[in-house]
Amino acid sequence: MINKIGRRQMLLAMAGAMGTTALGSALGRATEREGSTADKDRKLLFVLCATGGASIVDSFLPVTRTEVDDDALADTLNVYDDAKIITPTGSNIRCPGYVEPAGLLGGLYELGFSLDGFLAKHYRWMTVLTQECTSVNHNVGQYRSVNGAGINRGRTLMEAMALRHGEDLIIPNCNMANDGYIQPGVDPTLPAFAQAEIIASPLGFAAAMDGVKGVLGAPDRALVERARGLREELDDASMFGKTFADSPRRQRFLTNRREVQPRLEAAQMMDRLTLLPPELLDPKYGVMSSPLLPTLTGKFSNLLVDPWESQAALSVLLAYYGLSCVSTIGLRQEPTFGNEKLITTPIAFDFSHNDHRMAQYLMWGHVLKAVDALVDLLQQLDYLGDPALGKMWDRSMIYVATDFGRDKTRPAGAESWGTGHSLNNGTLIVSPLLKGNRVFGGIDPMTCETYGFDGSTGDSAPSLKCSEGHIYSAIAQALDIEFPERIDMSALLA
Amino acid sequence: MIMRTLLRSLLPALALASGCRDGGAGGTEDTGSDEVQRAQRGELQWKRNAALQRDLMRALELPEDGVCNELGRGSCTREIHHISLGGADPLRIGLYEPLPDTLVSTPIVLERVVMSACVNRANLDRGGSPVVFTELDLGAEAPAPDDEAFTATITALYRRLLSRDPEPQELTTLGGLAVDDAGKPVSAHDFAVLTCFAIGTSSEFLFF
Repeated sequence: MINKIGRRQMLLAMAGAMGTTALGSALGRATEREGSTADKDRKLLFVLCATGGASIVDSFLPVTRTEVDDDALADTLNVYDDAKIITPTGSNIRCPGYVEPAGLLGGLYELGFSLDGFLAKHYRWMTVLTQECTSVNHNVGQYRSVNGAGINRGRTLMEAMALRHGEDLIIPNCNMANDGYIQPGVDPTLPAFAQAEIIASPLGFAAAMDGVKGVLGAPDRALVERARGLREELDDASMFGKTFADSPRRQRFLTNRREVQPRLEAAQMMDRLTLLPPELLDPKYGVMSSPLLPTLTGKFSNLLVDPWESQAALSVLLAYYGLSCVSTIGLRQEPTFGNEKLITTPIAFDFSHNDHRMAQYLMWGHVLKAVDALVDLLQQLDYLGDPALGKMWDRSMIYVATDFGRDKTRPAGAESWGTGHSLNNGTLIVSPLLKGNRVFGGIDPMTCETYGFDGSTGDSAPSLKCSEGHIYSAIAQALDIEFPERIDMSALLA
Repeated sequence: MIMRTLLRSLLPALALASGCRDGGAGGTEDTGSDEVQRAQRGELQWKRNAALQRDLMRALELPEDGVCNELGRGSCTREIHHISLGGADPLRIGLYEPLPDTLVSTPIVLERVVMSACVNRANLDRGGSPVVFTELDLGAEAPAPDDEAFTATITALYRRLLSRDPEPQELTTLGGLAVDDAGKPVSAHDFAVLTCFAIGTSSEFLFF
């Protein structure tokens, strides 16, 4: 039987033939192959899922008390004292300054990252888009934030990204998030390679790159290869193998084992992706820490205990070593401890039900700390370790996805209050591929509700609304992803 | 009358047993010849993480923590690679139903789990009363393919892992694991681990 060789097989074979070897130094070449045309053109997407409802009104589209122009009304809206709002020099975007820990459980929090510090450092790359989503159900809202409410044949952004930029990558679409953010798209024609590789344990994922390395007592690799070869013979010749030769499930498994696994092992990815420091790796396993670990821990100092940080760190490695073009990470529901206090709330942004302002400030800080680290690392590292391919940042986009917004009102005069879910919100994207230092759309101070904009001109108008499909289209257009229903968002492009 | 009722009640079971060999998923018939009809629908089930762990514990008579511990940091099947091995994870990542299909990492992780379990069994058998590799001298060389110990070992592994006897051709093929690439006999310990690994990572073991 002659197997048809597809474009993906050919590209993978070429990449494998050119070979990959281990790094000689921490910031050396990630691979030894020449950058292919696909490498040169490839874009990178990092989807950071702000689980629970990250409110744009509490980050980069705040309203001040005086803008309301009605004290009684201002007392019932989620507005900030004028003195609390900071606009860094040169920035067209503003944000709340430090929020004192207060309210329910206030004394348990440790605020480690300020929004205004982030804004001052990164406003050039920040694009704020207003939007109105279509569900206040967590799972549904999460899913629609990454699939544009089905605008692209039911494909998630990550699947579309893998299709466009990941055909010659081994695991183009890696997803470490949760709930609706890990839900696959519904396009039955989507090729298997574009489907997400779900990663629940970022610290342990490196081991999934090699079938033998680090398994104590395993025979010599040459003998294992011999056993693998004979196993393939047995598998095809057995009654079971013959009977179920056409089983799609079995075929998928065998294709990965026979075509993908050898490439992963040849690329020696286990050491490269290992996020455990040397002191936590017993030498008897023969596994090394990633050569990039010192660089990563400089930015993600808490990665051993904070899943958010370990996910973000792994996403950098997956992109840097040319394994994937899109990584999705997500805030966990359980709180994370810092040195002595909590650095995240229970149920992430959804703790706004109990204490809106504190939860929003703490969680936005936690999200932005990872964005800050990602930007710094992507600006530092050459793509695939190859200076000819430029910095990773030049081709990157960081999309902060969230479930939905939060209610804009509060009990009159309350300093600490809880909020429900709201369709009305906005989105933050950090990337050199979009017009930075810009807010597209606006906010009505009398309601704290955002309004939309025209994607082709960039003009805002209270009569306009932008949906999940607009956000999806803007990201897709910037990442060269075309599809028939794409909404023109040219005004946003850099 | 009683005999007749008994036979009638056993008919479905007998039919099922006779169908086991051809999978029963698409009208496949065991004709007794080399010709095997392919299952037209090919609807195979994936043996998920917990079932995989239990099957290895049963087949190799290992305790739960004796199957696979990833770099000494946690259970391969329950904690580190549970998603890749087909498990759900409702509490940590909101994956309420396991994934429908295997991932890129699934065959790799399966190898790690089975290799670890096989090594652990061989080490236990070498250090005490043997349970699985009873016919091997695990401190000596691997038996030759025409040795009774060779056939007994392979047969035991097939029965324990796949619940059937090996075909003659399968015994012949696995004879290649008694020697290395240069034709030199490998150790009986390596032979035990490699044969266990080859059979335990077969698609026949993972799917049903």
